Amino acid sequence: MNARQFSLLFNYHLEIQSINIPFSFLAALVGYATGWNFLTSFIVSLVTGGYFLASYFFERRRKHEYYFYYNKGLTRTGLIAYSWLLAGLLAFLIAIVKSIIR
Amino acid sequence: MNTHVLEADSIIATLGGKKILSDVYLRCQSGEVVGVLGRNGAGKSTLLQLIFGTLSSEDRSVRIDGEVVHPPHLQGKWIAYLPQNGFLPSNIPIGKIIGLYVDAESRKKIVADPRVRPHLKKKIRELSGGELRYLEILLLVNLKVKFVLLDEPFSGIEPIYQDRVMDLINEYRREKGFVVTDHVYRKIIGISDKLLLISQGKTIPISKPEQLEQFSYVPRGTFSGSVLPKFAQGDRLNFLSVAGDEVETIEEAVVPFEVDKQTWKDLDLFDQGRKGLVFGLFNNVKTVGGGDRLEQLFKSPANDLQVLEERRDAIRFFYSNGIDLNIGRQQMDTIEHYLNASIPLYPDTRMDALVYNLRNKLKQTNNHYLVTIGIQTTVSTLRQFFRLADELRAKGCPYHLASMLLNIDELIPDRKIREILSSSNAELSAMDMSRCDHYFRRRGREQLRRIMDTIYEFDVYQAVAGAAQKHSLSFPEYIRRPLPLIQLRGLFHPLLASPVSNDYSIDNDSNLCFISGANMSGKSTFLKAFGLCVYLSHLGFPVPAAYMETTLFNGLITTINLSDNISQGYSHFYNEVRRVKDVALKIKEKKRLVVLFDELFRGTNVKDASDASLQVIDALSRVRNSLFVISTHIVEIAEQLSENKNIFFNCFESTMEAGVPWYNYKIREGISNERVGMLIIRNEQIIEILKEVGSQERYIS
Repeated sequence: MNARQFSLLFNYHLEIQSINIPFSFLAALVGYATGWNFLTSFIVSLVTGGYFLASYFFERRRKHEYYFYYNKGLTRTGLIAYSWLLAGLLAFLIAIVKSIIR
Repeated sequence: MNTHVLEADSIIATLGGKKILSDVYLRCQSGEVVGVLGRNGAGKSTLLQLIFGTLSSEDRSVRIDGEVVHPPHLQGKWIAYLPQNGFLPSNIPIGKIIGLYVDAESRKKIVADPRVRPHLKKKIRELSGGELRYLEILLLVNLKVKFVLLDEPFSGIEPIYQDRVMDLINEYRREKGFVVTDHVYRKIIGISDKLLLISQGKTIPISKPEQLEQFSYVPRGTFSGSVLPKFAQGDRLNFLSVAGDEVETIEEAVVPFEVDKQTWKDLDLFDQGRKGLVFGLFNNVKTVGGGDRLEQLFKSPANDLQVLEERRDAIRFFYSNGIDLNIGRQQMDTIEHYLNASIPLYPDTRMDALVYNLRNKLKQTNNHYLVTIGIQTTVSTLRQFFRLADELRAKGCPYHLASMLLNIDELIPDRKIREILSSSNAELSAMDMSRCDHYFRRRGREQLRRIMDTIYEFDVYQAVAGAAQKHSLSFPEYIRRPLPLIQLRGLFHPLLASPVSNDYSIDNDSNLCFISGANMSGKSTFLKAFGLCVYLSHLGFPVPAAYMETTLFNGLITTINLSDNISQGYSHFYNEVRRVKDVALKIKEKKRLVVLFDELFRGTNVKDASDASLQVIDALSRVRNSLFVISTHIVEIAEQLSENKNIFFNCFESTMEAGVPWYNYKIREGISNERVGMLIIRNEQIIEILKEVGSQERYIS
């Protein structure tokens, strides 16, 4: 993967996260209200429900934008997998910060 | 520059259970533009997506330079693809998109483009359709790929941007191969080195544009007709004569065909409630809208040759092929009611649609029932109509119908709706219902209305073709000549139970026919039948004759059943005089008319009638660009008129058998001096009745 492809991949990741993070925040608030830890709920949602919901919305509403990436040699599976790994990395970093704060 | 070759074959693709691609071969090499044409739903986009690799299929072979290449290796390296609906991210500024997408050198070039530079800080939603399409293609041609697939680069953008897109393709064609598909076929033809037509799942190489007519892709006459618009010679391709939108039309002043209510009345065209009389003969439409359209057509005679020939050919096609529309009144009424009902739209999100559907399954509301029935009826009717359209095309329908069907094809560009319509599945999911409802009643309302109008038009054609069959009518032949002519064989009146047919012709050399004959010999019926042929031929409808040949006229004026006008205070005679004056004024306007007079000047004394008839008939006969048929009992003037070479004399015979007149209703040359008026009065014993009444009164007094 070259630098330009990585930039595009990161761009896709930001598109997904623009939906994932607000949703995960909401999920964390709901989790917190039901007795869960806020950050734990947030981290879990970031790599599970929030992520899949964001991917779903992208698929439903902006499916045609995948061609933006296909034309540069990126596949849908690749985009989703890399983006999920990056979301996992973010979740991991938050978990580390959380453990340091504790 | 290295030359690369892209080849695609062995492609099989299905859509909605229907095989849409089965025998495809496409070859494109660097420096070449391959144009792909085809109707909506033919599989053009599917083919491009299959080549690009974003759509999978049962079978597919894509080779570059002879080597089979599988996706995703094609993407990014070999091929770039422009989808129909665009592909650029909506929430990133254009400057950033360019930076993300192309290398530094190309970026510099794109940014310097005067059509892109002003928009660098904007997001794509702020661009017009043309600006966006131009930017998308500019980005793709600047990618380091060998082939670019463009799906509808010209559709929906303003003409100036269509030209700019063409310029872009021309600029980059030296280094890349292009496969371009669009419905704007003139642009595709103008830019392509090779042309393919997708029809019935196959790719057909097109070497000259007339072939597109043979495969009914464009209406007949688009490229080959002499009467129809011709396109300017193409500057790129020698074998294709179309380059742009320049249309050379034949300039011909179109004067409307004039007819008045008296003529309608004389010809018994209409009565109240559309039943009976001549209109009733044709009014066998199945739908209410069809009836309205028939009435509209019936009241709008024309003298535009192209319009008349198109309509006649369309009706003749229905007549010869026994086409059955198979769409009934109830179906169309249901659709009309559904479209006009003020009921909220079906919920448009999947979840809401499911909940709405579920709730109504438990307890159905009236609104849900109406909308559901409306959508289902509309879908089934459109499916039926599209099947009929295929049938008509397969039977080689004429220009007018092919043109209408082509327009219909372009009216539903929504892919999902087309999938629903092309599927044979009777059950529609909640989401399908929602999609259809939003399309039928909102986005595609106008388009649906136009399809329904076409169904109504076809209903009229079917009804008129049925009437032609039932009443042995024939289709008129229109003659292109400057001077007037009408030739009829087997002319009859269609409202008679056992009509007698006559042959008759009239032209500019002998443009006034003087008809004589005894009372009840058939003069008025003949005039009416003749008038009907003229009128119906100017509708493009079949005529009550075995054969008719006619030039086109600017109007028809008949005076057969003229009465006085009490509201205006006009006597019968004055009304006749006004009508003759009207004819004279219209002729003065250099109009070419057919004029029929039954018993001219019957509303005045014999002497005045004789003098007036003589002068008026003589004057009319000198107007050579109009035709006149005049019946009269004043045969005394015939001798004086016989010196006039433009006047010819016809009559109807009668014979006396045992004091009773017999008529054969056959027109022949000559003048009839037979008088049976008194005989008819005697046979009816009117004088005896009156004498009897008189003697009774004397007795009482």
